[in-house]
Amino acid sequence: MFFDLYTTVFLITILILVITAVDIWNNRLMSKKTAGWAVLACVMIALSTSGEFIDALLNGSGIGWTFVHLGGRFVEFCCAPVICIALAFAYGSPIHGGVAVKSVIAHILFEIVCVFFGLIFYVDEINLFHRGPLYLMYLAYFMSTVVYAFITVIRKGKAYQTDVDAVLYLILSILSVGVIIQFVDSRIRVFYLCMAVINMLLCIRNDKTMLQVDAVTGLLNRKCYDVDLSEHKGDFILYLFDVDLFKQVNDTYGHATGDLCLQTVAAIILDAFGSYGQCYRIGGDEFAAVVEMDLQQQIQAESRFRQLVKDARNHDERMPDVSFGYSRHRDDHHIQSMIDDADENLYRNKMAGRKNV
Amino acid sequence: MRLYTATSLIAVLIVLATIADIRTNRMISKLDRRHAVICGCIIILCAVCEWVGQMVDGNETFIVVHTCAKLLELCMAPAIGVAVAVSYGDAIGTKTAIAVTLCQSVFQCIAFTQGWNFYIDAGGFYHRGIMVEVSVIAFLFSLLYGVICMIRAEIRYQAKFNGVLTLTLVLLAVGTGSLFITGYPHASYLSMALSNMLFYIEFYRMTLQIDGVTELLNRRCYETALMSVKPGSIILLTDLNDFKVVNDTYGHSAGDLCLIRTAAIMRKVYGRYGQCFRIGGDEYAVILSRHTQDIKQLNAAFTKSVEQMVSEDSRMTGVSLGYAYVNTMDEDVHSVVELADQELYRNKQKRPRVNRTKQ
Repeated sequence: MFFDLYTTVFLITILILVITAVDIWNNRLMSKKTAGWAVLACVMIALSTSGEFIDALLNGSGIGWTFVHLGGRFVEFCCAPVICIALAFAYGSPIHGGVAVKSVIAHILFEIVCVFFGLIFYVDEINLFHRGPLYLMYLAYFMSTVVYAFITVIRKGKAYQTDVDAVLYLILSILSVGVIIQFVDSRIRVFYLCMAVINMLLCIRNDKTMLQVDAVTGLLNRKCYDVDLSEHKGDFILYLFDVDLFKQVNDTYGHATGDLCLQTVAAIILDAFGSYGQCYRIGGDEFAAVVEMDLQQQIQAESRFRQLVKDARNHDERMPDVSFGYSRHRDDHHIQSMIDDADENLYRNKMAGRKNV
Repeated sequence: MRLYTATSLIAVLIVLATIADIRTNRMISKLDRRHAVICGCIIILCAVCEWVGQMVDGNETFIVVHTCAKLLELCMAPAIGVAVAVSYGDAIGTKTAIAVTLCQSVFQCIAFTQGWNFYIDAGGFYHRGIMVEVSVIAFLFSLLYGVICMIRAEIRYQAKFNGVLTLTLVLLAVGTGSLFITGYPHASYLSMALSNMLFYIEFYRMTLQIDGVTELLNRRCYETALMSVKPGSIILLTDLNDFKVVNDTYGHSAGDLCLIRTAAIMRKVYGRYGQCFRIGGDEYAVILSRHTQDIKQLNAAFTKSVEQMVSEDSRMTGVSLGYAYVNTMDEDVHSVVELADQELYRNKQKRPRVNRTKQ
């Protein structure tokens, strides 16, 4: 039957790729460059799956159409590794980006050479597809691009305090399902459906990450702070930070310096407290951290924080001091009174700090 | 059949990933998150039931399992559309819809005892009954209901009916269509899983574009809309008179009510001709791109409605407005906003002073 389940799956794959591409193109949260990479990933998946579709139609169909079959497979083998590299650039923070791009180009050149000698794959005279002697090399390269993409995505998540969460595990399991099925029985052609779905899920996850982040400092934004505080369970500590005399920095050195100073403070807070919980920018020059730590860790983190601020101030004289205060959550403690306590603590520290100067 | 197993597995994973994403999404309220999780669970349940049914078809030992799976699927499938509507759309007549779904389930159970919808023979083979179409029709109607509620939400939140929703409908049509063309096994739950994900994206986008109090588009949308404003459009600015007094005298809930009712009037008067935004505490903007020649009539209608609202409820307050035309392509749009703002200010000065006394 011509219109079977596989054709439906193929159609669905193409459709969700189109939807993703349209959505990315209208997405104002992404820069044009990242959007370009994301759309490239969609196009590559579409080309690969079309190549596979041609193979499904022609494989073993007898004499004739051999060239079309070979061409379809060739397109698929060339495009497939580009998918993951494009995904890495679109949704991750790439390391050694230049090397990755060069490897893709080298791979395509290699494919062109190999297709004449049938080294990676070949199609015989009755239109049957066969793996060549170097097929495993192709597979190894492809898997390494997959690993590369995931490493970059995890790196980006770390930078924006999005942990390796359930979503990422599920994305990984969809990928493994695709890869395993491809290995066990390559006649079950769902691999590119998996890739199309992964592409879309990565896009959603990336969007969500970017919306939860404050644009200037890269910390989580006010909205996240409100939600996290109200939904946090168990024992935790709320730290509030305030940049001293920030207005003066802005007025004296200009807004660019002001932004730079906020970024430095954000980096210091993330460095000292980030491993114990989440850090937020909650106002113009106000920051917060919601952390779970014991007294020993508290002393350590605070002294590290003070040291880092001191270093930054020695390094750059425009850098102002940062005061902080905290309050520990207890069961009978209302969130609002907890915030007030931390605020009061912050204010006292600030006054004490000013007196010392 | 193995391809079918693979697609079912992928469909379940897609729904799980969507659920995981929704659960960690801090931009969505707790209630909406819960609805969306239930919606996902129903889709998983149906997909799994259908798969089980396919796997044990013609197997004598699993007749009970087969029967349960089929019956459960028939009962639950029409709930998907309703769940989509409640989770992501602007649901209308929710109680009726849920009641109809429940009735459908009861009907399926009764029909089963009579063998009307399906029966499984001694060899474990599935056979359609005479009234199997009822469940198919219920399923299609529930999908239609879900789609209508999504479109209602698009209109309510002034989301542009963009490519994504249209393509999602095509996807849904392809998936459900495959049910009729290819017969079993089909890809309808795969397309359902994907559509669920896309509806979630669409819903999430809409939530981000609106202002929570008035449900008008928010400031961020206003800024982007200004960047792509067409020549011949009108930028109209409005602001409430003495809003601070209302807030201070009657409290914040009265203030919010005032904002909401003004926004509603605004949508009613200008909504057909352009987009309405809340751009500040008590400031609104409208970008009119269609039929801009009627602007004076529209303004008169708007002021009249607001006056009527004020005369009915003394806590409400009037509005001042100012507008300006965007003339040519190269004109800086911010200077047009400036012009509108100046006119708004002049009109505000001209208005008669109302003395509000504390009650």
